[in-house]
Amino acid sequence: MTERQEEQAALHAVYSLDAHERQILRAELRTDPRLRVLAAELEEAANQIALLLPAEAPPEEDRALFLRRLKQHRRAKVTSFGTTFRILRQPWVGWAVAACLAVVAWNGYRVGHELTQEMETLIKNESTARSEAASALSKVAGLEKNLADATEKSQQFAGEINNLKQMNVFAHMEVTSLRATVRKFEEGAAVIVWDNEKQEGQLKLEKMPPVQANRDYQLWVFDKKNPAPISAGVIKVDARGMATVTFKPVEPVPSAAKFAISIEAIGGVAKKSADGPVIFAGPQ
Amino acid sequence: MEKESDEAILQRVGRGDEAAMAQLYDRFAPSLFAIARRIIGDEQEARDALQDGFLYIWDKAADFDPARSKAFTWAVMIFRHKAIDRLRASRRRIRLNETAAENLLDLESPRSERADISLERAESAEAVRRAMRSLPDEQRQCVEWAFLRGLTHLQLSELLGTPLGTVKTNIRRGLMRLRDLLQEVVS
Repeated sequence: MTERQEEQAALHAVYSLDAHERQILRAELRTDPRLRVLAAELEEAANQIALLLPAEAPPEEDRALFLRRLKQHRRAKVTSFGTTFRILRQPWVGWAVAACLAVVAWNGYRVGHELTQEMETLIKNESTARSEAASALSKVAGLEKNLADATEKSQQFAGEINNLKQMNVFAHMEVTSLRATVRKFEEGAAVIVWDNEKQEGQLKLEKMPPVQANRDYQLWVFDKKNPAPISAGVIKVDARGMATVTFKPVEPVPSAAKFAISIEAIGGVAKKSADGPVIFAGPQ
Repeated sequence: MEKESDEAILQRVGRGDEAAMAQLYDRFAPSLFAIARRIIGDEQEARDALQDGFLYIWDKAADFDPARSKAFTWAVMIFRHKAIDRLRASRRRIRLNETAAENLLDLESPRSERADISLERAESAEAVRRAMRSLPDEQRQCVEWAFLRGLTHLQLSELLGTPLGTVKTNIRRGLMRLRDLLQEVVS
């Protein structure tokens, strides 16, 4: 035990510590039995000093006052229990409790009933919702099937349309085989595919003999209503005498009636010359 | 017929005996009122403190342990604490105009025989008087003023014009000496 602890125990014995110091000492007293014994001994010694004080009798009426207060004090303490028991023993308390229990029970029943009804409604709603969902799913399946059928039909139609378009394309086209008008070119072959709608065509030449260095083959288109041939361009053949070219006449040809190939000055001429021999023509 | 001890009466009070409480009041009230008056310094407040203190004893009597203290010192402890708490709560300034040289206890005058106190208490009082007389003056003074005026060690230091550490040491040494002397008497 430290001197400080002894000091605090002594000051505590005469109640001279302030509230904070007293709190600290009490905490120490709880954990230190020796300090606890010392504090009790010092307190007992200090309190005996009171024996040295000359007695001073309080006023006589204070005794009677105290005894009255004591009775009131006792009654107040007993009343807190006694009153409670007395109240509990009243007959109406039982009825009141029963009434309270009945109210609580009725409320419980009512709340339970309401909850049951709500639950039934929820179950009914859930069932309806499920059936609506099933119906909707079935409709969706039907719609999907219809969509698939429609898609298939659409594809079929698209195919048919393509076929029709193809047919339509071919409908606008004419295939013409030109015949050699000069013996020298009889081995050669010239075929024209003409698309009147597009006003263009394709020429394929085979086994054509080479022309002189200052000359070119030139293609001409004849319209039914126009006797003057319209130039469709110069045609260059390769070393084997072959050529495949797409051509377009320099002027519109509303109704192509005939095609011809002549040998012209190199680079071609704008108008058919008189000295350029026609070597292929058709149809006949 | 042997007179019933203070402790026996207090234990009866602890069992709810109102007559015992009246008996205890008769035995202790003069000494306890004197203490309250000394500490509080006001007669009416001392009377109020006496009423409250005895009601507190009535409530706490069942906790009294005769093995740990005498009934009288136990009651003194309760009354001192009650009176000092009242004093501190009222924030009344300590009476610094009192001369610190004044002896609060008359240790020299012969003990007056009192019919209202037990022989045992009277013998104890004599032992305490002797023990207090044997204390060095500075220790006795600190103990007396702390005990009978309810002063904190700080107030005591201010009143006596003595360093705080010295006040604490005097109280510690004085009380330990008092305890030793009183235990010697008992043994």
